[in-house]
Amino acid sequence: MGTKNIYQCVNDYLAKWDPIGLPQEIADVEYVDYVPGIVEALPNKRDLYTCLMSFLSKLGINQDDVRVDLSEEVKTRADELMKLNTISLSHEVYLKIIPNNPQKNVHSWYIAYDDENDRVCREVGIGDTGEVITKESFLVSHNCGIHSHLSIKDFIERFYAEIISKEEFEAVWNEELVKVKKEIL
Amino acid sequence: MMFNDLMHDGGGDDVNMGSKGYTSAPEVKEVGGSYYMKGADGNWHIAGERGLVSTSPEFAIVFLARAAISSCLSFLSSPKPYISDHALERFAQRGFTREDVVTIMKKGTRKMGKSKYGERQYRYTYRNNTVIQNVNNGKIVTVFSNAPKTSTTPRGYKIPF
Repeated sequence: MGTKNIYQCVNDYLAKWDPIGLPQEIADVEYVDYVPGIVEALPNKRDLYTCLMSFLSKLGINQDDVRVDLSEEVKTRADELMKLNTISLSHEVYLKIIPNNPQKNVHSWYIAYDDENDRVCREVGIGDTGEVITKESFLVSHNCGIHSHLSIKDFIERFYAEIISKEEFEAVWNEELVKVKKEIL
Repeated sequence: MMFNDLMHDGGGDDVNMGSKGYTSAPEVKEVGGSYYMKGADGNWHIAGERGLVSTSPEFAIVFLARAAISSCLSFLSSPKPYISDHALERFAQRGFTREDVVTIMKKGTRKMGKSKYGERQYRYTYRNNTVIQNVNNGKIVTVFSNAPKTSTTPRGYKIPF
């Protein structure tokens, strides 16, 4: 099983596609909102086509203003995206959230989400000075973290979560916990 | 309506008719939609024409409809800096307000750019904050800064100005 998950692959694909034409570091985070919808539509080409047309429309790109045939372009993109669904991928998705109203002094959350079982499996809370102040791991039968009721779509669409790499998550996960002891529930 | 009524709405008073030097209301008659006034020489001189009057309510409706359609078309065709759904999300994500965007567009430097599909864009930059606007339809496409991500802010978050 690969180290990347489908969300990361789709986000990488959209960042590379970059219909607006942005600097690469901005393109990497510009289209994250659309990733859950595209992942949902991946199994069905027609759904995926509709989803990608809607994606371009939301970006303000319409057939009337461009010279290329957008319909053909989107069909090609849909084919390429569907191929991502056939490669071996990790079921863990890693997210970073910066809450608007920090609670428990946590200014950013790093979350490992099990996409197969639809649950948060690990989470790390970072304080305002960058130290790890909470760190928890959840077993399937004890999913009681503060984010346990949220799906990937919620994280991305409601909290503007950023999709991060496994390496970035693990680096934070392996940092020393400050103030609060690591709990394994 | 008689000519006297056009010049003065008082009843029976003398009317000052300017250089002609009339001291009393002149004799006026209407023939075939034109007004004639009797001069000092006793001849009739043309003095004006009756305005066009709608003879049927349908005309009024047509005129009003034309005016309404014309103003709607002019409103729709004029480019206005309105904001795409995508840009609104980026505002919220990156801490920008509409006022910030207006400031960047007013005070920033403007360069031409293109989207992946060749749509022309204005790229306004002010103090390392950038607004991208579609030239064709005037829509704000996105907004970002060149700020790196930190533990408390995402990449591209507004740089205060």
